Amino acid sequence: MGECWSSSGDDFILNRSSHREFLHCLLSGFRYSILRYNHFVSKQAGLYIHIPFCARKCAYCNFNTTDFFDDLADNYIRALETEIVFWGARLVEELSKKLSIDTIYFGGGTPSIVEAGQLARIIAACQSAFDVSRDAEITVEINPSTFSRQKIEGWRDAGINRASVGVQSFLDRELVSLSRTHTAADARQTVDALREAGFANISLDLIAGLPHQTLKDWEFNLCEALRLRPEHLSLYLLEIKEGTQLYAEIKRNRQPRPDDDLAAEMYRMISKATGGEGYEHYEISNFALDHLRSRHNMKYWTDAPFYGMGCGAHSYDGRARWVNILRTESYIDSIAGNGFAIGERRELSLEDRASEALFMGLRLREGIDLAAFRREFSIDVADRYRDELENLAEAGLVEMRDDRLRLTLEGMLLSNEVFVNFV
Amino acid sequence: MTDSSLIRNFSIIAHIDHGKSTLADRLLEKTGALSEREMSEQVLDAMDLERERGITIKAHAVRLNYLARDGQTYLLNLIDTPGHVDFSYEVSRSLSACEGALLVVDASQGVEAQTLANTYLALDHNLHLIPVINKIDLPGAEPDRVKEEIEHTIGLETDNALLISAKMGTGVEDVLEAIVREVPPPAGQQAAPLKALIFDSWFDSYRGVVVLMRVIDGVIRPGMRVLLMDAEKEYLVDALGVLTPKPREIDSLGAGEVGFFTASIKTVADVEIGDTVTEAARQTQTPFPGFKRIKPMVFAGLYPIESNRYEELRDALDKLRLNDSSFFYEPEASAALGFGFRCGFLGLLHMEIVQERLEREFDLELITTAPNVRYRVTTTSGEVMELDSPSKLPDPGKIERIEEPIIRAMIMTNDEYVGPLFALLEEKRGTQMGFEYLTPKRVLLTYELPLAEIMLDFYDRLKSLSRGYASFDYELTGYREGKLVKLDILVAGEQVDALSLIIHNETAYARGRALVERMRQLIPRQMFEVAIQAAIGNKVIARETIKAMGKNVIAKCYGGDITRKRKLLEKQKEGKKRMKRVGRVEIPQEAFLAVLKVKE
Repeated sequence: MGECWSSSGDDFILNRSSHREFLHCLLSGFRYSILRYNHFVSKQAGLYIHIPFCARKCAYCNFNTTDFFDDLADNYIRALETEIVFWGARLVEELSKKLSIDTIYFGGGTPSIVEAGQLARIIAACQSAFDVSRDAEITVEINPSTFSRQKIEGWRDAGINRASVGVQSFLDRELVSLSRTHTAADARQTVDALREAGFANISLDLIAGLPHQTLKDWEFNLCEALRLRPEHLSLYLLEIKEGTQLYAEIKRNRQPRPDDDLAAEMYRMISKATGGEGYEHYEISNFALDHLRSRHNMKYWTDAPFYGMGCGAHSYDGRARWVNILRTESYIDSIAGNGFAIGERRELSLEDRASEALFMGLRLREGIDLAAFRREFSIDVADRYRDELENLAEAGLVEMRDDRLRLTLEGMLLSNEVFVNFV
Repeated sequence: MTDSSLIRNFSIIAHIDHGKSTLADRLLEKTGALSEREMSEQVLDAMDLERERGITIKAHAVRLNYLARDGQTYLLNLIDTPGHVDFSYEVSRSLSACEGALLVVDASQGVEAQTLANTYLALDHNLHLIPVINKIDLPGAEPDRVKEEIEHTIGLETDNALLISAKMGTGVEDVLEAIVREVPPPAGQQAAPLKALIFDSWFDSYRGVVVLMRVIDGVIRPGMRVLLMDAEKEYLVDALGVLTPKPREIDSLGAGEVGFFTASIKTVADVEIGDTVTEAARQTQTPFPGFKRIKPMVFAGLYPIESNRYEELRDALDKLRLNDSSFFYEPEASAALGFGFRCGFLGLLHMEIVQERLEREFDLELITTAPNVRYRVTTTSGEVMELDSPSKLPDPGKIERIEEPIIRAMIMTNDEYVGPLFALLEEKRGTQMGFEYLTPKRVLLTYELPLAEIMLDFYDRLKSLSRGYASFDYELTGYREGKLVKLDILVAGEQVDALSLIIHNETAYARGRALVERMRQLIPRQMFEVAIQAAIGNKVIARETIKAMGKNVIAKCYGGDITRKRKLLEKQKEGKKRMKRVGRVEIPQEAFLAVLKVKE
């Protein structure tokens, strides 16, 4: 993912009595039929591990990050291990067996900033707390400025088998304007070193639509990325979010406001160029060779359970979504006191879940299997949203075929216009 | 009952900001009607809206006791008048209840068109006028020049004009003395049958309608059976009272006195301003002259943005009408906007006030269509109909002629702005009736022009062309035939009935072009390209295109933070709710008022 989590909002720490209530609710609060839930938990879960540390904050980032100090990192890693043990035990209590997981994802922040050995400790903790499948996808996000041959080998030896490299751009002037701490050459060397160490599943992150970026600039970036032949690409259209350096600069007219039409052109270029090189455009911003999709991110899009460990990490168990306490220090304190560190929790009605499954599922090019959706949520999407879908189809944003509803390419560009009908 | 020789009934005529409310406050203070502590600023303008806009919408009356220098205690009734042309009928009724008026003029601003219009009204009612020059403490004060203006424009002797500063309290007692000395006492017959003029009413949730009146002849008492002569309705008087300004019950009101009665009347619509109250058993032979039924002049459609709030809007209109019988409404259905109401108002300000009260007091979000006047259409078959909505206009082939209401406008300005104002008035199809220098610098322009022409941007442009110096007032004079056509606006090929306008043939092209250009700016980009067209009949006269939206996508995955995505989508959904969906296009509220703001 490159970076993570919203840092807005105050930390909300549960007190002792609400802690008990929370557990009660967590363990007994089945909102809908056991049958449905059993079906849900039969989906394999994903594990997200947040490493909040960064050497420097990027211009476009408003995620939950913190400056890197060795001592804090030590304490944090220990807290992560504790949290993993807590959830492992808690879920055994609930399921009468270990939770079965098939993805582990180290996101940040900058997970590559900490020692490889520290990530190895976390993986070991996961393997004892959960039932981690033999062929689990284990990903680490890498900032090209933090790599070393030794680290890469350490990751490989710890069982990490997928690397997601935050390239963002192959133009150094763009990297400078984004406050990235690496050069294009660093990115290329990182990929080379990963290949040498035997990594066979590499993903690159790039951002399109930067201020001052021309269609030519983006074409260059895209070609460079494709030349490295990564198994996976995450190509994002820049979003200007409040609270970022970029937002402030644009607001003060220090940077031009990126042009939506130009960004749309870039997006069309992406889809065409990746398609020509054999990549499958399987999600709004994601492209895969040989079906090597991001198995972890697929959890988010297919209504599968995922558990987030670490400050500001998000979880979903089919009944509720919750987010951990954001601030690193508060998180560590809460783990030390309670074993867990939930900040805010939102119970989902079946209706909420259906709505989220719909707008998340539609992000995938394959769209929604309407028959499966009917079975799962007792909602006939085609019938309930008849008028809306008719309008959207007429505008060329959605198509319905073989009992599947999906976005067209233009629909992906305007996906919020589609999704807004389902919330 | 007070001896009528000790009663003085008066009102204050002034232009906005010339200090009417401040002077009224001082008079209340000086006569001890209210202690300084009780004086919430400007007591007479009670409604929030009035206070914010600095104008009086409803008339009020306050009874003051004044111990004059001659040793006698006089009863002074200050009858406040609405300060805007929309309410000129109410003004005339309030003035009818008085024998005199203070003509308050700002010592640096001089006479303004509004002052003039109300002064003419006062003179029509034979009121004794006392010139009062206010704000003499200000550095720009030129009392001599202002005196000259008053003499010239009104023909009023200003040797005894009072020079005051209401703000500082200077000369306020002289004002009270002048009222006692100069305003004639009322001349009614105490023994005659009851005859009282209704000049205001409002709804009180405990007492029902409170009727404010001036007793002309006779006496009214609680328990009396009274007849409202035009309404032909009888009521039993529950209570009588006066406003001091706090309401105080009283056991009789005699000739010359001003006060209120209640009689379990359910809505203000049952009580018409200008009607005469008499005793049912002993009726006056002649009702008070000058009664007119109020007729709305300006019409607009009011629609809830959320169609499901139609019922709420109806309830709100019902409630509002309890207190304002001068606007009317009837259900109307628009193909574009769904169900709403066609409403009639006394004028543009009145329309704005009603709209604002609906939004503020009833928490409704409304779309107001462009206001229009009432047209008189004669069909080829000789039928004459009055239309209050462009959408009701018959097929052009069936129209013999269209007539529109005409006004006589009075504009006062400094002579340096006359040039640009001429151009504006010509553009607005005006005909010059008079051009007169009042002083070497001040000019009075009199024009005849269609009422419809002041409906759009006239007032704003008048103000900006004259740097705020010009003032303006008008009266209706009649109907006149015009070369009028209906201009339609089509959005994505669909005619939006709520955007149709009736305008003059010659300006149709320019306005059509300006309007589609403005709509292009106001309608946000949609999922698809949208054409905006202006058409007269089947002929398209202007076209603009709104490009399809570039992107609206949350690209990143945000590590499973789906709540954040949901919130973002919910926010976008809220934004859409504030727009009206017409066919497939979402049109924001402002676009419906674009017709008002467009320059040709």
